[in-house]
Amino acid sequence: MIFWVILFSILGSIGAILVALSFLSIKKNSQQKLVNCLVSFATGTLLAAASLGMIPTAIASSGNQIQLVMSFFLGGILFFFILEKLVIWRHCHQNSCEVTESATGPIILIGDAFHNFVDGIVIAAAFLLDPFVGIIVSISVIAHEIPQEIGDLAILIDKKYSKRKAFILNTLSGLFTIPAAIIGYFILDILTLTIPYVLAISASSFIYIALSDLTPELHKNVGFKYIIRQVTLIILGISIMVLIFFLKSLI
Amino acid sequence: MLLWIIFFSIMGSVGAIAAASLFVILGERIQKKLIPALLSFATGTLLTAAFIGLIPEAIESVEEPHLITPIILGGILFFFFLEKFLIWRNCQNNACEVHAHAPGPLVLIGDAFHNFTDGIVIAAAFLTDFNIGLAASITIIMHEIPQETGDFGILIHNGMSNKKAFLYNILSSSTTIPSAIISYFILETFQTLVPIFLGLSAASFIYIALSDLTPQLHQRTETKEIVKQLILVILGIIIMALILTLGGHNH
Repeated sequence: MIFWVILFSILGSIGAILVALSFLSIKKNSQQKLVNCLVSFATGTLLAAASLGMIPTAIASSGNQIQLVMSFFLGGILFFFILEKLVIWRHCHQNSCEVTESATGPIILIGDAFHNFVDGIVIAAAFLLDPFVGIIVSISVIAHEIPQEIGDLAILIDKKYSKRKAFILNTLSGLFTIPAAIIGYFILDILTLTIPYVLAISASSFIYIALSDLTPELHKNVGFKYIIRQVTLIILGISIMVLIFFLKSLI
Repeated sequence: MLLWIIFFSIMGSVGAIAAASLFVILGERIQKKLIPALLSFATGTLLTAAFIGLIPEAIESVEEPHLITPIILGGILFFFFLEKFLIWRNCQNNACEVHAHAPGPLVLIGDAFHNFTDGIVIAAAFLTDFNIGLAASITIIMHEIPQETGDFGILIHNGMSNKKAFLYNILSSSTTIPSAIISYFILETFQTLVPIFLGLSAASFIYIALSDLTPQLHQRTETKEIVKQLILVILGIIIMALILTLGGHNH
């Protein structure tokens, strides 16, 4: 199992950054299009992974402590809400901004490192409970890390980092996934009782990202063409997750 | 129980309108202070009612998380598509880029539909348990007041007189009441539908809190405003958790 945890945490960190880097070499126009597609796809996978995979698994493996698992979930949502508030606040105090579209380099990198650290723990917790949930979670991590890292790289380059420096720093902050996954795996393997609650908090991060960060982004595009594309890709993301569950039921 | 359902569907529609018109009379200065506070508070209550109230209740009544979470996912998708459709229709008519001001009729139709849904939520929640019903009703009232105040603003901005805006808004809002009564009789006959509607209600609460309200809250970046928001969100969570846990509903 540790093999899969390490493999997927590498794919979810360095893999996503490499894909993101290759995106940067294509034309700005088609880049925008692809990122938009990926964000739609990621929204579908995140929602499906959390609601179909992580929450039911967390409840079942907690011995049906529904109320407790959902309380951790709610606590997780509050935590990510406060975390985003802090990032916005810190950023705006340094830059006296009104809109928070572009964040400065160090904040991006620290935020990314933290985010990737959490990704690693999520991957470990999911694999420990159920390999299929692990695969589903890993796909969602990869799907939403790619547009995320493209955005990060674009901001860093925009902030006058050279392409090379942006890539190296971003890879360094992305690397946090791997030790987090390995350490998470061994700690959680001992503290088995805590896994359902770790998974519940992880699920809350997926739901928070999908609904509070990505959905408003998607609603900014209003053309009919965009709507069809977004809806198709979200459903595609969900379908792939459902398909994996279907495969599980066959085995 | 029917009495409670009727009482709270009146409070959630006509009551919320009355409170909203009070805000309109009080003028913009007080509105600008109180509405953001209500939005923060409503975010806390919506999330708590969904995660600690509706979802656990729905799962417990079917004893199988795998049956309920797909309904929640479906509900979230439905509200996503609905919002997409509304944005699209609105922008076809007005050739807009940003969709801040919807035209009058659309606001009223949207409001009528929204309040119709509120009625179903109130009925399904009270049929489950008195505390759940109370929690759902308070949540609906709390987020209807800022919602209706906003609707008033748009209608008056579009050239309606105060009186006309009030009348139209009352008409479109009162859909809550027949919808709650009809839902009561339908759901009482087909009890198996109740968990499904609880799941859908939770989806609407989660979607509103995370995709509509949270991005709005994050637009404010002043320290004072952030602290105020956090206190009110947490207050909403605590009050809702108290309603749900006190009052003799034990698991």
